[in-house]
Amino acid sequence: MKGTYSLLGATVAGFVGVLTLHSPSGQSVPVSKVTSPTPSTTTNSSLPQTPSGSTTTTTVAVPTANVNGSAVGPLENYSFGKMAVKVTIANNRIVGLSIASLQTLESYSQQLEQYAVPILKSEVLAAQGTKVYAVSGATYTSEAYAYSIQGALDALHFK
Amino acid sequence: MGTVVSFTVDTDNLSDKLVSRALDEACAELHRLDDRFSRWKTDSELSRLRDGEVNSTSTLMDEVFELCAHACNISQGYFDPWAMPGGFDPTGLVKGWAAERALSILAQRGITAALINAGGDVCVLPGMTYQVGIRHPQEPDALCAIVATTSAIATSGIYERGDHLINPFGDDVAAVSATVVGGRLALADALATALAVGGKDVLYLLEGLVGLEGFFINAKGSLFKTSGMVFAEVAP
Repeated sequence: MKGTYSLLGATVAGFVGVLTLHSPSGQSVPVSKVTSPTPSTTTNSSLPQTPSGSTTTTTVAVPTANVNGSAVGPLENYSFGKMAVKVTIANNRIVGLSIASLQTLESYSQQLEQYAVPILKSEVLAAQGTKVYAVSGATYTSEAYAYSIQGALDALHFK
Repeated sequence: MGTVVSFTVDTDNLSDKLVSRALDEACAELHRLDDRFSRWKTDSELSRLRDGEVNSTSTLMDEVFELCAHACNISQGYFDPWAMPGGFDPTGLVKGWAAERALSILAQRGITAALINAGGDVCVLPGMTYQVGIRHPQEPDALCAIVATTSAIATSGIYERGDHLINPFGDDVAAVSATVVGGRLALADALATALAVGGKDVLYLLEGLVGLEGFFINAKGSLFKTSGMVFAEVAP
């Protein structure tokens, strides 16, 4: 359970840590100090756990008048693409957190690495002692099977 | 389903009788499923369904419907048995599903370590790791990769039976060979078909599916893989 909490916390921190909001006055407000008005597991887990398990809102470190509106953070790299998070603020509180843009296939496709296809000859593998138990490939016809590597494997394994 | 199925069973501490009975039962199940789901047998339930002669489907057919719908959904339509010419054709999923059922019979009969290779779609009993070679799409007597497999691995391609893959969206087929690793074989099988058809689009979807990895090889001989796809090390 503890592990789950810390993981969730890390995720939230990862989401909001990268964002900086600009209030209408142009003042920069660190998002990570704004808390959610509604208790939710994700938000709470990023907060220090109180003994009573109380989930009410905590202090809001916004120095000036109410901040309202929403802003989209910069595109950030994640494991396979880029993502921007949209944060909506009403009365100094985060009321919405959503993925504003997920550059999917195009950037993914561009950053995909191409590899040359290795050619692993069965006699070389055998000489190295690499034991292969089965061969995965497009559907065999029974004629092709007779000449396939799987056919050879079966002949070796079964008397 | 018109293919060859190989069994690899660790028979240590098991009687010959137990092993041969388990294999007989598993084979019988495969024949039973072939009788029902063969597209080439005119009296199979699938053929009659495609001919519009079936009013109420069997429980097994319903199970296949559900799996197909799920596979269609998670592949965003790249695996779509309903979009095939001539009507509903679950062949790209049924082979893996049938192998899974046969493997489960082996487990029920007391076998703890086994692998089934149904025409290139491989499933292994939990707890075991088997090295599975992937056929090289252009070099018939060579492999292009070796993958340590703990659950399922399926490869789909257009090199063996000719051009038998169809893109539901009408475009060209992206890959000459596509492999999906992990999870259950019925879905890996369907997703391998989807990956062969959709290439990068489906590779991208695989990134978001927990426990599944994959790679494909295009006609130019380039290999593309998911970020978590791991190949067994082979000395050059």
